[in-house]
Amino acid sequence: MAAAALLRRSPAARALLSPALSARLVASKPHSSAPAPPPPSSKPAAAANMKTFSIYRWDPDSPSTKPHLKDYQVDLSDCGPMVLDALLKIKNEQDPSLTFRRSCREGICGSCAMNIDGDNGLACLTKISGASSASTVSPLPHMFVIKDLVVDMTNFYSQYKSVEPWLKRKDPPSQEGKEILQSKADRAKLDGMYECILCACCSTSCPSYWWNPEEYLGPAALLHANRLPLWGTLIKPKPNMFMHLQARGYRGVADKRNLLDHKRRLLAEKYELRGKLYKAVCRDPDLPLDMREKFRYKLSKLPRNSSMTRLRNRCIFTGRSRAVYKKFRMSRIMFRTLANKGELTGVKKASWWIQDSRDQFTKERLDAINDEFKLYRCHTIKNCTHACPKGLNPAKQIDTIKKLQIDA
Amino acid sequence: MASRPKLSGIQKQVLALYRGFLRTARLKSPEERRRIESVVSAEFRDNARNVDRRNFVYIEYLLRRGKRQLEQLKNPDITGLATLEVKK
Repeated sequence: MAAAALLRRSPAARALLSPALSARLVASKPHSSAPAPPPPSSKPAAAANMKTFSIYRWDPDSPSTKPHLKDYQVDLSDCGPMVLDALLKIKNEQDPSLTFRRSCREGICGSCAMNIDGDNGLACLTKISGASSASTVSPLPHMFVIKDLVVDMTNFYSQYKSVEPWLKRKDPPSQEGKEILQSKADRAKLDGMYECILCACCSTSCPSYWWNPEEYLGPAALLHANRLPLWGTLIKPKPNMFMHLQARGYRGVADKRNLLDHKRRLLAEKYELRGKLYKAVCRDPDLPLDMREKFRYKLSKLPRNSSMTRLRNRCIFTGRSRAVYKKFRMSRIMFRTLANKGELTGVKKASWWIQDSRDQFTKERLDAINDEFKLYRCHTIKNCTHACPKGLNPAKQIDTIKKLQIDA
Repeated sequence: MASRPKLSGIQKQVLALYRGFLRTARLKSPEERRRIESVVSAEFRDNARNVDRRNFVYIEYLLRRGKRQLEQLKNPDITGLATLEVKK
């Protein structure tokens, strides 16, 4: 059929083909109804491209044998390009007892994750490096081995489960029985996280995960933790600050500067009427000068702290005199702190990225992993990003979580 | 009693696993309970006789396998345990 298609090409195109090639093609199969000619034997005479694979073997059924690396020779010219093809070839032709997990052969299931030549990756996506050097295939590092290349993933899965990787809401969706809507921009925030196939390549490449596999959640679980939540509040609101404030009114903070300012306000209030009166008399051009003088004297005798100009709107929490907003009676720092906590009703950060806008349990999720071990065992080693066969960046997501933890 | 001498950590783990199986068996129906107990005790005794006590790698492997099987057995929907003889 291919030959027939080529025949239909313009003469110019045909002229471009090498004469030998086109002659051969024209000769075979002019009609699709004619029987197909035998395919030309293209294989070059057995250029046996042998490569050695050293594969980790351990059989639990023969307990006395220790784990060891066994060498297998594979003819690369007769084998697919990926390591998985080589493994299957070995299993089919040489050693049926070789055990490994595999399923999709296209890099989407994550079953065939193993360590190839020192780097974690999926066997179905890793190309065989070349006949010159031997390849070492071993199971994912620092994981308990069940048999040959199969490892125990129970801990990994239970950590994923502990992150509660599903949407949680406090109130039902806006339209009953319909989906929870999300803008395109919000959905774009999930890119880089939803593609994770839980192959465990990243977690098992992290030295921090090797040393603390039970406590540290690992890059994969943390990536999924980041995928879901994300909005504001991180630390539980401290009741003291507010109760204190509400109980004592304005003078909620035992800050010296606030107390003094408060004193000034009281005095200003007390002398307000008098001060205004004196001032008015002074300024009145119609009154006799000596009267004005007298009142000016009286005005000057008023206590200094009764002057309105001496009042300064300070932050009620910190006493900061600058950057205080009248609407909130606090300085920019406290405003930011409380707004992020969610303690200012109706105040929401304008262009705050919400990882998944549909999930409402951000605060609880962040609290749950805000633990010295679960999150902070990550020391930005970045092996996970190097190892990920899907090209994701768990380190970046962990960084995001850490930043959110700080912001509250 | 012969088990007086100080047990090592790994021995304690094995015994704890055995105890776990027996306790879980108690929660199932009586004839299932007897079957579970016989299967489990047979396996433990076999391994105790055949496995070299210095072969930690294998013992730990068996412990992990046993723990996983115990987790599965603990599930209330699971009614029993059975074994098959596979001719090699």
